[in-house]
Amino acid sequence: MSRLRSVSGGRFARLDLAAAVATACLALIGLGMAWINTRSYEQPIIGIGSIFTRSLLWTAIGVAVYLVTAFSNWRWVRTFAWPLYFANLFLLFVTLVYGEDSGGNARALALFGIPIQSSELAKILCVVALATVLSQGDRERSGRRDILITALVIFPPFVLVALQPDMGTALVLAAALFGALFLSGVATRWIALLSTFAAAAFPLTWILFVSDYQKQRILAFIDPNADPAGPRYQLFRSLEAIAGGGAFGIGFDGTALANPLPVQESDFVFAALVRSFGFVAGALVIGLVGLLVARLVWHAWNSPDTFGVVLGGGLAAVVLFQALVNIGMNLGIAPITGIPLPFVSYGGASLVSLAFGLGLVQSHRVHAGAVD
Amino acid sequence: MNMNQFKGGLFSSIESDATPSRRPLRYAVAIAAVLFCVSGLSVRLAAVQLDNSGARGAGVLLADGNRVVEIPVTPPRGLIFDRAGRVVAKNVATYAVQIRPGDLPLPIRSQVVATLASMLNEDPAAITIAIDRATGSLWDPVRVANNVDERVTRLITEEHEALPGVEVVIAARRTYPFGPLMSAVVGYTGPIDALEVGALAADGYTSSDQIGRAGVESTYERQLRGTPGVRQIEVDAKGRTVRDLGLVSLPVPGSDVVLTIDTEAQRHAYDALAWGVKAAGNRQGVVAATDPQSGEMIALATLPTYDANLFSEGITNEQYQAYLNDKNAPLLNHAVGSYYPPGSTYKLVTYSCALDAGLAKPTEKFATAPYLEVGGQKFYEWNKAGFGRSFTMAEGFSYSSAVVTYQLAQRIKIDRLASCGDAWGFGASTGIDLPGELDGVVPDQVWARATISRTLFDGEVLQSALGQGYDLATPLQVMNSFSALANGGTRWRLHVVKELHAPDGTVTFVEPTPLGSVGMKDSTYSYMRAAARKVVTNSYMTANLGTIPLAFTGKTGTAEYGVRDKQGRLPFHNWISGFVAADENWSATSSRFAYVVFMHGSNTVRNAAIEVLKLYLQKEFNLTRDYRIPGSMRKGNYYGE
Repeated sequence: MSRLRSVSGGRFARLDLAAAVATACLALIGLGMAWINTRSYEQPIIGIGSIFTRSLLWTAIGVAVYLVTAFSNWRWVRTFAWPLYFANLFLLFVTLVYGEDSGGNARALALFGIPIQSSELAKILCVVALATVLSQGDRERSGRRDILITALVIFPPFVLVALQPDMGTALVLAAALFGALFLSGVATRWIALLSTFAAAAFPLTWILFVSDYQKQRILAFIDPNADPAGPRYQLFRSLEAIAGGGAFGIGFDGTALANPLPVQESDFVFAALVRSFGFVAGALVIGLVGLLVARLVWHAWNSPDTFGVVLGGGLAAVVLFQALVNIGMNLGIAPITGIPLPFVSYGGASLVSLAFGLGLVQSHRVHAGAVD
Repeated sequence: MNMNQFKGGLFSSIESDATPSRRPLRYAVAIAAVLFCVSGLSVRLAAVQLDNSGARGAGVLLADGNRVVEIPVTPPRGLIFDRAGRVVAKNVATYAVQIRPGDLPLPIRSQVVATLASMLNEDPAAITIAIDRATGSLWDPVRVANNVDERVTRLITEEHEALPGVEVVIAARRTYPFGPLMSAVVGYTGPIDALEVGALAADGYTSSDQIGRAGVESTYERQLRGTPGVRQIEVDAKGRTVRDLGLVSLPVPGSDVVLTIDTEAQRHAYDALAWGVKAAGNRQGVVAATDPQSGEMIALATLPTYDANLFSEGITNEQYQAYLNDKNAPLLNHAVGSYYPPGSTYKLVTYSCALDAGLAKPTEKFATAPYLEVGGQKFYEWNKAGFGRSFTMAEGFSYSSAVVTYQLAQRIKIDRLASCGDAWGFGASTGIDLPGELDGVVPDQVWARATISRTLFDGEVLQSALGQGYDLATPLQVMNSFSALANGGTRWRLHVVKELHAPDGTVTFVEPTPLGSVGMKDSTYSYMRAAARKVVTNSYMTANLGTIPLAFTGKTGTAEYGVRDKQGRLPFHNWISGFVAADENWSATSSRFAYVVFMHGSNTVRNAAIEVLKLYLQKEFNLTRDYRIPGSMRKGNYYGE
């Protein structure tokens, strides 16, 4: 049997407070930005269409999911990992067929009138499925088997998401896979092989999966002389908003409200934030993300089992990659891909699924090694 | 460390982990990656946010979040004058209505569009489609109506509050005072399409611009358009104009264009042709004339044609479809954009070729016969009876004898015949400054192998010598060969534009440019000129044509084409081409007038082109007598030439 630990009240002392605080701070900042954006769009603060009202509800659901997951035993998730995984595949498929274009690329499926981006769920559920499948069995990490299984796990959702076409989220899945394999100790040669394969597949992906709209945005990013009124327009708007913010921002009334950025509640929430609150706020968000990711890596390092390593590594990769690409595109150093900034960007599916993933990490710390 | 030794199934929830193998280096790399990302993003954020000068250096950003954009300012388009200084294309200020979709809130869009449509008396669906089809930014204006009545524009301006995003602008409209008379030469302008905007954006074209679509408007688009200016405007975050910062560079108006054609001379050709197609009941024809000393066009009439004003006023779909569906192609300039078998006008090539190469002598007599048998096949004289006597070459030319031509062709052979055709300018562009010119076809064995995958039969060589078979030429190529005959062997590049007047006062002349020389002996030209005069004076062939008191020449042609009718007869075109000389001295090269008349599918009892030519010469040279022969334009397969 495993190393048994007695069920004691002291066990919850093992909760990662730093990660919890960082998560809570990011979620609060997201809520604050939702309030500012709601005012800036001249919507009622409380109401059906209000971004703030929706954000509040989603944050409440997220907190509940986080707490329930953190305080229940993580092992149940392994039982449900596969049903959840296949349910998500089904959801992705339905989204692909019936989903509505929510502006740009990623599609959403309307459930009871609420648009759900099933690709957001896919990120976390893939990490959980990977953690489950890689922790099966007792053998040493065999490169070939791991590679094959992980590829089988990641490939279907990857294709379904890429076909939406949401290349950004598909790349997050790839990052999750990379993070999980990297930290779980798969031989370097297999990782190198996978990376080479991915690089070789890039031209094919570009032709098959990347929509003209996305190509335009990516090419606009590469070509500095692109028409400023065209695809680079958002980027210039973002840069000028950030530049206007200065060290301490211009506040969140007046000019900030009169000049909303394009999609400033999601893609360009970072630019809106640092315009209102300056470099200080931007550095704080970057720092919080860094802290959270570092804690996830730390969790992987300390995990007594492979499940925790894959969970920590995969989630660390998801959060870091999303933050890097989202903030990077706000700052003009990454192409505009529509990837949300974890917890800060408005988006229910993203928030709840991340809360679930991070809650699971807490649960894994609390209940590690113990069989309840 | 291996504590869990269970093997779990795929759906097992039993604790079954192998303790992970740790690679400390990997974790160090992971933490380093996190630190790198955090510091990298922070540094970039600091660079954008705390060092405003760098961002300003990009030239895009303003501290208050607004930005400066540069928009091209379309210069006034150059005017087009005829040779005598009459305006044939000018600009008229009109009102246009446009919509900025970004200023039109979506919830009230259909209501605004409906209101606007009722004011403009237009279909609301058409306006909605125009808005939805627009490419580019939401803040780019979309033109929804042109040539709007002034009272309507006042109404729209007054209802400004109820029509957000709708604006009235002044736009220049092109008008063509001479309408269809000059359309084939001048062409027309039309709205630029989305693809062209993309391709020409670097030249300052915008989606509301007009661009030359045909004729001189198209060929001289660059000069007529001028150079766009640049206006800087400051726009806010939504792209709305906050402040006009004025012109950074002034637009340079387009150059004015002066045509070689006088509209009065053009009217002579046009009216003669219009009479001809009406009398003959065909719909297609060409009358054109050029100065053999320079290649300047004197007249260029082609029917059917169109009214260029319809295009600049905004042609309706029905009108445009009617033009496109007309099998006589009114939008095509048939003088340059269509080719036809040149018929016996091509005998200029055959006869001069034999004479110049010494394959036939001026004094030599050729037997005539009802037919010539080649390879077991009978090739008939055009009158199927022969002439009952022998002909010199000049007589053969004037009687347009097929049998004499066959005998010459047998001596010349196909490749020499083809190179003589090339020498006279067949099979190659006349270089005219009008769009869409075709090259035509001069068949030789190389062409035959490449095009029909075999060599030409002997019979086909005989046909080629008659300007039939595979021979194809544009009316202007035929005219230019007689122009070269008139001037002693120079093929000029044809042109309809004489001068360009730039806004700074500089005048650029379109210099006469030789395309090449026919390269034959002067004696050959003299002989052929005299022979072409004999065509005119041969009353057996051309009746009273020779009684016209002008020193002119010509060569008729009847070119069969298409498919036989129920009686087994082929429809035919009529041609005549030649020149008007200064006097009766056929060795002189001083002629200033070469012409071609082409009547498509005329099928008349007499050569319809001759009758049109008579009327044209009467008008052009102020002849009081009418030489036209009544009844000539009746239908009937007249196989004479």
